[in-house]
Amino acid sequence: MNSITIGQYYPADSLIHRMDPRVKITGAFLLLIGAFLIESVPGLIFSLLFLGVITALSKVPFRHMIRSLRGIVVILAIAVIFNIFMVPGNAILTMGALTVTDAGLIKAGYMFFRLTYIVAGTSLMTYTTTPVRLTEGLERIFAPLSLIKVPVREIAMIMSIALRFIPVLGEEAQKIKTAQMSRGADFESGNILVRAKSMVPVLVPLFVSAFRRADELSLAMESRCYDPSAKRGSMKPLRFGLRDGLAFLCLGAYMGIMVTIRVLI
Amino acid sequence: MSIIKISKILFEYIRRDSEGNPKQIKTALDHVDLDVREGEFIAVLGANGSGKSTLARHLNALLTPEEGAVVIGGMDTKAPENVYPVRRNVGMVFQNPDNQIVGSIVEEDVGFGPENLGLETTDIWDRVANALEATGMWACRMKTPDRLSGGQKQRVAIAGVLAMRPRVIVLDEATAMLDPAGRREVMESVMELNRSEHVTVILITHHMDEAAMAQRIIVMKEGAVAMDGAPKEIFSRYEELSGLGLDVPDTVRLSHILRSEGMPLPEGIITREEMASALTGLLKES
Repeated sequence: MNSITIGQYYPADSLIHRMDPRVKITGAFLLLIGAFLIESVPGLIFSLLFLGVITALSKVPFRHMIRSLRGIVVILAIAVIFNIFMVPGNAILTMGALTVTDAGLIKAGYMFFRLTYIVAGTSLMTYTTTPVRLTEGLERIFAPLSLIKVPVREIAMIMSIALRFIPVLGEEAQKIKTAQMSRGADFESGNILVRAKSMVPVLVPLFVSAFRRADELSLAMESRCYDPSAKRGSMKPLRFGLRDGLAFLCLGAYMGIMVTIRVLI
Repeated sequence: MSIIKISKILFEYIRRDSEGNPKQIKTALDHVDLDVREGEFIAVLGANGSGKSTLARHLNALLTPEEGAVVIGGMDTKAPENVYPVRRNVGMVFQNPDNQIVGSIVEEDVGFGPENLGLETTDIWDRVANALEATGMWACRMKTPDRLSGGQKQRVAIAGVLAMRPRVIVLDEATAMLDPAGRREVMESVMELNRSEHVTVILITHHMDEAAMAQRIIVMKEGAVAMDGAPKEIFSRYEELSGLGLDVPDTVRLSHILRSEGMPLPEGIITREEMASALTGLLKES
């Protein structure tokens, strides 16, 4: 369970860490759009270069970035396999009813790259931004929605707590799993269905414990004067500085180049 | 001057059937009276279900009594407008360290309380820095909670409470899930706060050696105060404590056994040092 690194903060002091979360949220969103503009080799190389530069600036180790991909291995595999076999084109290899086509291979390659790119881009945001800053950023971006009675601040608080408890629940799931294994539970053998079923004795106690934790956490928050309707102070207020402006310009340039490559090539 | 004044409070847990009629009533607090002076260090003992935690939750308006009143620094917890001022004055530290840390890095968690009070940014940082220094956690301020030991997590929780500048800190079995080293860490932090900042401490515990460090011990039994006095006085009532299902510190039990075997040990030995000097005194005489 410790392999799940999505949504976890990687403590370091870097340019990207210090950046305004609103810039990083916008950046992650633009990388997502950028991923779907990749249709050619130059686009692929340029976007890879861009991600490489910001990863290097963020001081997040490359190994850590790779680890975030583990969570989407299944989705990746499905996307790639479907593309390989389902896209019509010149047949390269035929295995019974299944045909691998050249267009399929290329499409699968791009799909693989796009999904990896999206996950890497968004996890870079969560690695370099503490959940509190992240939710503060989201809160500010979506603040106008509170005019139409969307509880933006409450949603932001719920999100930050969810992110905070990912490692806690992960550790707990591991403990329960070990406890069940020591009593003879088998999680490794059988097909997917059997293995999914064998997770039930892990998930039920995990849920029960999550509810108990939620109950205790709400008491602790209340006793520390949390009042959703009151005006809260801010420990790390967002200041949009020159650096953030420049970062926005870089993001703009990235989008511009991606669109140009897409249109021209 | 009394900071907490509890008079004749009654609290019941009522289980209802599907029609909403009471099925089972359990009286958790049965007309409890208690007076706490500012700056006191009180330990609350009692078997499971004796009403310790229910009492603790009345101290910062998480629960309010059905009868009687809890008055904190002149404020009745029953008045809705007093709820937040009361919680600012009485901080609570709970048993499970993971379930009370809201922030994902240490300093952000300690800042949670001051943020809730709607303070200015510089003010929040002042309080966070002070609280982290007072609990010795300043060096860990940038860490994520999952990299801390149990004792360190509880000290962060204490710092989080301290940052609200409370006059009273209630520790509801806050050491129960810790190893001996973690317990010692937490106890040292708490005693230091009591000594240097004159914070009133109410420590709910199962550990007799922790209770022995308090100035005053309150023993609860079936929702009522069964004993109230200085540790020496409480631990001398050895049989009574055993009857309540409670233990005494090892040294107290040892001196009790030695006395009943005919050794002329003085009453009121609690610490190991006291025991050692009493025994060497006896050896010299013989």
